Amino acid sequence: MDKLDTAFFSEDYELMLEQVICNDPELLYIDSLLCEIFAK
Amino acid sequence: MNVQKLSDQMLLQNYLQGDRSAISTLIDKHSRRVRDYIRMMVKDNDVADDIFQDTFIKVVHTIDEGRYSDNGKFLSWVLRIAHNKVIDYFRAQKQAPSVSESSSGYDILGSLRFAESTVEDKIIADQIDADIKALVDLLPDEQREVVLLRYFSGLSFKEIAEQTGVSINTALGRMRYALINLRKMIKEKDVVLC
Repeated sequence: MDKLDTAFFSEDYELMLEQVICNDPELLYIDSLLCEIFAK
Repeated sequence: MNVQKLSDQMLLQNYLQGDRSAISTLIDKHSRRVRDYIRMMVKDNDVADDIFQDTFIKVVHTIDEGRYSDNGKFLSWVLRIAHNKVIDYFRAQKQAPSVSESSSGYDILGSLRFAESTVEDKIIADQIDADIKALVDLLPDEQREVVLLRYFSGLSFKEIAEQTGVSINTALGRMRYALINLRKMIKEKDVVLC
């Protein structure tokens, strides 16, 4: 797999993870907490 | 056929086949829910409108570039993008020194930690920070590493995969398990998050 393919699949998988998190309010909230805490 | 009753999947398909109006229909179909979600998060209608617009710009670009893989959960995907835009907004607010305390304070899902409007709220928010960081420390090494690289270092999953020497799929899987494990520990240890 070349780098372009890898980048493409990365985006795809990231979208899949986003969908998994968004479908679960608790995971969404934990994700928000982690974003906030580690962005400080 | 009543266009309002077309499924998201069909509207996407029509759009990809050249029906430019289909994307407008799709956006209209979900606009109220997405806008309400953003407004609930930022508590400012003007800011919410900007984020709403940015959200759908990203949605359309992603679809146009062929990077959206439809699995029948279009709205969830859009809400997630909106959520990320909201987080970006708050991050930018925190980095802007001229922003007043009242406009930078916010409240996500009713949690006190994001409002920090009083000394007591600040103490609670600091406690939540400490609790979450302690739980992250308890994650298996490979999951903790992905969490820190993602949220602290801000790396993409492609970069995380390269840095840790695993596939992108594995890195994403570790992140998913990390979040699930954190939820499990929060419940087991009765950690109060609001």
